[in-house]
Amino acid sequence: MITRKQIQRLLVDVVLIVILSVSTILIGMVVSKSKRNQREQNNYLSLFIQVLPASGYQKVETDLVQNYSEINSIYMALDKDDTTLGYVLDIDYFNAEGDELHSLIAVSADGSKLIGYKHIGDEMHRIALTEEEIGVLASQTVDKPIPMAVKAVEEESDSEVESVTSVYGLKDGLYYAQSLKKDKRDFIDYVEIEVNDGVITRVNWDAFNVDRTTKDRSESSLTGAYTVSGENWATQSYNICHALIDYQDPDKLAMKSDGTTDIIPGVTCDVRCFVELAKECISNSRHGFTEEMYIQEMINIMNDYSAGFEDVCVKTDKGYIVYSFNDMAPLSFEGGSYSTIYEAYIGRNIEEDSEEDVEEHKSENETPDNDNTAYELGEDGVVRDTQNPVLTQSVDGIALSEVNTQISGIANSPEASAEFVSGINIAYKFLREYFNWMA
Amino acid sequence: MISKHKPPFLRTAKTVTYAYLVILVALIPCITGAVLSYGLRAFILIITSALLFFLFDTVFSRLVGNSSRNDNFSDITSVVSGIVFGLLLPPNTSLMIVVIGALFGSFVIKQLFGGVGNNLFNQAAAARLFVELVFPRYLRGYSQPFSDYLKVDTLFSIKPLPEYMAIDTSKIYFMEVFNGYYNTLIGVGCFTTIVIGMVYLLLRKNTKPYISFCFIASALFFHLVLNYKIFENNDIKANLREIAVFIITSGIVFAATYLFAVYSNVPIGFRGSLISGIAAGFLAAYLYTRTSVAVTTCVPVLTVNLMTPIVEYLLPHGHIKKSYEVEVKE
Repeated sequence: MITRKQIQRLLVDVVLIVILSVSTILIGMVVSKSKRNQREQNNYLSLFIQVLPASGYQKVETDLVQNYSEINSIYMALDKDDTTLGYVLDIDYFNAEGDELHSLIAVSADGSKLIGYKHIGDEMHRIALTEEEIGVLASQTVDKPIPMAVKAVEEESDSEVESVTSVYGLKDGLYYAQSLKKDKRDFIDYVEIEVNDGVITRVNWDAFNVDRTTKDRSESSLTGAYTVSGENWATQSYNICHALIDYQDPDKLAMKSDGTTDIIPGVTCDVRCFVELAKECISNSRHGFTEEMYIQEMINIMNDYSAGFEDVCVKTDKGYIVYSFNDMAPLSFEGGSYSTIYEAYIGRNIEEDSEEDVEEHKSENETPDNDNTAYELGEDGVVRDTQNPVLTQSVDGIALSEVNTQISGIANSPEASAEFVSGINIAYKFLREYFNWMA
Repeated sequence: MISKHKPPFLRTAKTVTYAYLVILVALIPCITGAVLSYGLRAFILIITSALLFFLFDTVFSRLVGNSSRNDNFSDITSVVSGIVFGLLLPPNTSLMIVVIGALFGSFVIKQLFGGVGNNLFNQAAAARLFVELVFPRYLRGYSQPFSDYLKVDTLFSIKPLPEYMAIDTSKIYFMEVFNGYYNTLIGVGCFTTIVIGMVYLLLRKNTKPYISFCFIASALFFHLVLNYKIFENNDIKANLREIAVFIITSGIVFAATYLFAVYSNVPIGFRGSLISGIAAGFLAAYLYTRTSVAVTTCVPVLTVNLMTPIVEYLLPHGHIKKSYEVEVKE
């Protein structure tokens, strides 16, 4: 039997021992915490220094990761001021055969660019890529915008520039197109492209104002007189012109229905006008309708169908015609109605051309897809040469319009290259969802 | 012949029930450490284990006809065994393993040997070693302590885990090791709480210090001998650290405190304790670098349990009378 005294003693012991235990553990936690943090940071740094060196790393705890079985862990890289430098994702990608690729993927703080890649190399059955091939793929992808896809067909090109595909039938020279109507702020947009060896080598997008006391749009944006959301308009114009040189095809700029595009970093403004004018320039190039001919045709139209060029419009310093067709249907004349200066030129000056011919020209101007070197991206992430990749399908569950970079991959291993890219795209998808969740 | 007597023993004034209650109180620091380190899942593992050991002991003792011998303390021994078994599990262990361990511990180890006081082997250690050997891949659920306090999904998950990998303590600061900031069994990590439990048992004179200290000392000695190459350098600080890390992470202090505290299956006298402690210490030192913490903790204890009847038979029992006289005078 246990005596009452024994029970009392045991109860007192229990109370004392619980207090002592909890106190000891809490003191131990406090004492160990700084050491633990120090060890963790040293450990992180040794792991991540090759992909994203930083002053500190913080593990990202989120339930969203449960939706991504491939992601083992996510870390936020911070500098000394606790500013986010980027994210490091530990991703273990498995393909359909169960082969694996375990890697550390570093993505920029805004989730737009791959900034580091490291293959861990602890797979039991690695996907069909050698270390050298993984190194090649890493060099193709690091510092490139994400998401990515792999091209199955590469354009033959003497240059080292990737993803450059020319539009069929371009004639060398300087080509030009301008809006027939002024915009709400009285600007008339124009695009000028230069073609050399069948490739667009220079692009300029700007706008002049019908009020000649107002500076051109790029200049106005630099002085602050013309503002748009995001970067100043001149910078955005530069960026999209550069993107057109890269992509060679306005359709690949992935303009959305609202006139914006997601695939060009730093471009947030409405680019519809640019895309349409660029297409017109390309059409003009195909027909050899040069900038000089374009401006001359405008002067001829003014002279033929209005009071006279000198009376209704002026020329800019660069020789462009300042005139808006706002007050009448654009290029609607006795001889017909046309949507571009080139059509008007054909309709007015080539007497033997029938109306059908004009229609034929019109249809040519609509830049049929089969004129381009185009791609089809399947779910495996490989771009195939049967279809334009933009807006039609998806890669790794990502709309193709979102794909920002197409890499060459490993020539002999397109599928494995696509699997490599899939790992990166998983990082993109997670961060996209994570940022939305944070917002 | 070994004569069996029904406790309480004549040589002590304390009852077995009280003795086990004292062990139960001594386990509280360890339970507190486990719950504060691993949260809800550790608490559920320990409680479930205690309840299952109690339940199975009660049911099986009636089934095999041992219920008349259990009297009023059988519940306490079962609960103590269950708690110790729970403390020897990794934090992410499935409850299914607890069920299997409790079944084996209650039926095979305890009731088939005759019930309370008659079991040859320590119930918790034997059950733990059994599940370790039969289901090794299901007992690798180690995780970082002081995180995931509310995580319980692992209790209901039955999937094999990667093979055991020895703890690389060289990458851990000593203060972290000392305070349990490393992956280990839920009751073994928090060293200070085990020491509190040991001190309490010593203060209450509820343990056999001979065998416990002999075990720890000999384990340390054999560790130095077997791993002499580690200590060949002249870095005294590093060598001391290595010794301390061995004591803390090997589980020998846990075994010395809680598994040798059960009177029924360890030697009573000094010489028996000395011999058994040396043998157990050697095994612990040998197994430390070769297998998991659970094996390092349980095998020496079970070896001592096995040796106890032989040692007790071979050694004279004069000390029992002496001990009894001391108790009577008090």
